Amino acid sequence: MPFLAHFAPGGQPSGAFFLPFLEGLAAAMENRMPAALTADATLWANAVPRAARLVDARAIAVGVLPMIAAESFGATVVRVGANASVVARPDAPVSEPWCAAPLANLLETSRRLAETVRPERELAVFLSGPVTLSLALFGEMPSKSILEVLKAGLLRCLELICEARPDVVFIDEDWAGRSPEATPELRRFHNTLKNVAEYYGVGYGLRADGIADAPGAIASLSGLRVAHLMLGGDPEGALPDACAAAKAAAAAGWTSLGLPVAAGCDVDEALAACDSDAVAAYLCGAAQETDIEFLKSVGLGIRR
Amino acid sequence: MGFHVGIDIGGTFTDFCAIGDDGRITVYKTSTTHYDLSVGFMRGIRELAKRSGFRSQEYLAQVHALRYSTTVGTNALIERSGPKLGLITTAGFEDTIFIGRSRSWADGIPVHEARDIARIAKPAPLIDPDMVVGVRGRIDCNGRVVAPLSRKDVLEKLQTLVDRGAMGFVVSLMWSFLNPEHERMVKQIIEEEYPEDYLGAMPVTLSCEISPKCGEYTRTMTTVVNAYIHGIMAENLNKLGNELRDGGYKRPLILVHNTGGTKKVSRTKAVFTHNAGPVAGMHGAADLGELLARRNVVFTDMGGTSFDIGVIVDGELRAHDFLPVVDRWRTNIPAIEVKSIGAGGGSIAWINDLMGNALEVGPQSAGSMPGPACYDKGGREVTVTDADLVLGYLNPDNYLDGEMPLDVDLSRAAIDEKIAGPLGIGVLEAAYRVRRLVDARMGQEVFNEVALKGHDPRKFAVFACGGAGPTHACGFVPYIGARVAVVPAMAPVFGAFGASTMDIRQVWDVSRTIKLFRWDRQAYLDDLESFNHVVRELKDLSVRDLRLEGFSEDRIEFRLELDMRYGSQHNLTKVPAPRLILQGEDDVRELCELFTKLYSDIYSPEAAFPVGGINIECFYLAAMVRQERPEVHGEAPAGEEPAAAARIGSRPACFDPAVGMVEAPVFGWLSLAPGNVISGPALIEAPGTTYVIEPGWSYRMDAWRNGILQQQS
Repeated sequence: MPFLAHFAPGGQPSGAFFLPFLEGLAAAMENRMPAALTADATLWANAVPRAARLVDARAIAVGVLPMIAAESFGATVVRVGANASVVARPDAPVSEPWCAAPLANLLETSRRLAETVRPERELAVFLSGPVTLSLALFGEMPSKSILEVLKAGLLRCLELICEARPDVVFIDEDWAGRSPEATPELRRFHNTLKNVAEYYGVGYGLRADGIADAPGAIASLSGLRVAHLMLGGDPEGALPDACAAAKAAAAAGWTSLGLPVAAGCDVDEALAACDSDAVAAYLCGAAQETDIEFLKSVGLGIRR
Repeated sequence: MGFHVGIDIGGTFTDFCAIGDDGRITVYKTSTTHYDLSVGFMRGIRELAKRSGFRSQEYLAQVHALRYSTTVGTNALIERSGPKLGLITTAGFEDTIFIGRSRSWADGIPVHEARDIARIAKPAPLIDPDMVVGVRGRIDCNGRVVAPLSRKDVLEKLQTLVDRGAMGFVVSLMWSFLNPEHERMVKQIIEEEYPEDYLGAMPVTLSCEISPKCGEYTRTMTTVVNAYIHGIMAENLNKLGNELRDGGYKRPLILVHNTGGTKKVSRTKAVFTHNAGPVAGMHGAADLGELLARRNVVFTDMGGTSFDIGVIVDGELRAHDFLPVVDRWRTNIPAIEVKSIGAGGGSIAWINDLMGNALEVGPQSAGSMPGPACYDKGGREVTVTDADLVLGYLNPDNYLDGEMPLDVDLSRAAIDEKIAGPLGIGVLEAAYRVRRLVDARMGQEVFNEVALKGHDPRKFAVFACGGAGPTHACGFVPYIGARVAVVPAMAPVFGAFGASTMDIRQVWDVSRTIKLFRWDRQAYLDDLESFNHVVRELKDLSVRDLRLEGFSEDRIEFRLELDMRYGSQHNLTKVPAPRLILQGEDDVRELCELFTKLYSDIYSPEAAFPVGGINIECFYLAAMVRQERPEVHGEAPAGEEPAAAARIGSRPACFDPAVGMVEAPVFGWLSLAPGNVISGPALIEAPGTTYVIEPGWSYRMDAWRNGILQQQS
């Protein structure tokens, strides 16, 4: 039963489902560090579906590992497990980031997965957005001039991902505790990206991570006029209140809402929010998840 | 309730037009999805269903016919994505396709590139030189076998091609259109060696079946092009057919042919689908011309990528007088003549610094991705659409019925950066120059197309079609000396509209030289059977083919055309034969006189030279089965004054940069009634297009909701 496929024509997922982030688990199954995945498209494209089969995930997410794009845009990144931090910023962003690893490998992985995972599974690709890149490359929120610098590279990356025809692309933003604001420049930026995705018949969504006040952010980000929102955790990794988020998303007019879950959290509360009529909600990973029992139980919970 | 649906894929937009049994017409336009044409195709079908109040499955089940002018084959040629083919030809003629014909290096490229002789290059061949082999065996110019074909030799050459990786074979031997015996023997040998039930079976294409015509280069190239795109087209169309069947469509998919008709996919030769879209538009124009009692029509279609021009004389679509070019190859298919130039809404304006910073428009197009700057898909080039938007002609919130909002700021920024800045002029002035330049180019091409073919442009009605046609009609029509333009009601999707009303039709052709009037004896042909036999053969072929499509013989209409010329002349003139079968000398004389009359009309009576002899060189038999189409009823005219509700507002628009922006009234086309008259300056927003009524022009809606644009004297 397709869920993500409904995103493209501006529709809603046809019921509750779970989109886990399995790149960490896939790396563990291969006895490698996550950084090894991003360095090898063949490994990446083979390992993630294996992890999805193991936990019976109906959808595959790739590109959720942090700072993939920032590294390709020229930042020097140090990775510890599934986490990454920028240790040196480039003088100027790389002009053709899609040619540089690990983004080049993400593109190749997306192409391979788009050919192989369907019809059993659906595919969501995550690409760092202008806020994440601006913070990583310039250390500040994106101004008009920064957006101008980033636009061509990010646009081409999105185009190349869309050419592979995944079901949905999420622009992955980490606000790192800053208050999200839908500035006119940012709205225009997303409008351009959204138009490109629409041309390719690929769904377009926004993942918002590192936000302290989820209901406030949900309302504020609706100004970007993106239909689909997926929430992450707050800067400390705490998860938002699912019911409050669902209500806020309904009030702000989002078409769908991804509610993050992680091992140890109250999944029932998130499932209850999915069942409410407020907004078409579904479950997603809060971060890379390696607890196989938890991953299986969420899938089973939904199917029950 | 049933529907006839026409689909026309263009470089920028894919157009859809559905005509219901009740005569109701539904149209839709969407971006052409070059990465997979079926995505845009199915998107359009879903939208037509929605607009007709059905679910997609229910709608497709009710469709009588889907007529599709596809560009799959054209794309395969451009992308060179066809299979590796082997060519088997007569020994000694292996280099024919590489030598080419006349200045074949200039075929299929724009004039400005053809002039650049220093840098011009022959196109990369569709078949590599090492994939061409010559076999011994020879047939002479009378069709007699003068040297037998050697089976051993054929097997050896075949093995060579297979070893080199051939995935299919083209067989084109000398004089095979007169005697196909050797070509058929080669095919038999290949099929014996690689039978169909083996995985290694390979398709074999014979020139005597694809193009039984004189001229070894064009015959071979027609066959090569056909074989090159055949596999890809079959694969794509089968996939689409399956998708449609899964979606509820129960009938065969029908393809529009460049010969002016349609056939089922299963009965279509691939090469006949090239550039079929504009031909569908011309068919619609001929039908509409009949309705409006205008039999001489210049059909123009300004889309997103190209500007197509077709001339309809006396209600008839004319095939190419000379050999038509498919991609970069001169072929001899009997295609309807349509000229295309790179001038459309997406044509890019640029500064030519080598020509002293001259402003140029086209031929490059921004296409559907990234498209004009205002589409906001990352495009930064200035296009004609950007200029129209900045000039205030287009409503940014109502482009494609509001489905694609435009960003006028991006257009202004692009014009400022790329045109206005370098030229040192204002943005408005630059936009106006872009528009005027493209109008002049189109007007000049239309004039050339009509006048250089020996017609008087003043005797022709100009039909302005395409999404950008109504926006630019007032601009380019004056260049051909006309003061009136007709904008059909379905102008924005006219190719799709034409396709949805097309009949089943195919042309069978064969080269045969018959001397109708012998110069040495100054006498008419007495062996009438030599003529009638050829016609009967073509008729048998066509009847057999159409019977396989399920049509009985009594429904088939025939029309015969002949390529004729005076004795010892090189060029040919196409003559519609008044009758299929010649009964006596009077019929021969009638045909000769008709040829002389046509020749005199085109080249002047002084050029006619019947005493030099009159020959027929080629026969074209068109067989047609007319399709049912809903009746079109005109509406009773209302008054000249549009209803108050039709005036939906006003907006600033520029018709003269010296004056600047002026407030122009804006009307809604759907609220206008037949008989309404609007004087320029004014704008009319219609589904899929905007009419620009310039100052000094008026617009009148006729009984069928066509717009008549007239320049006041």
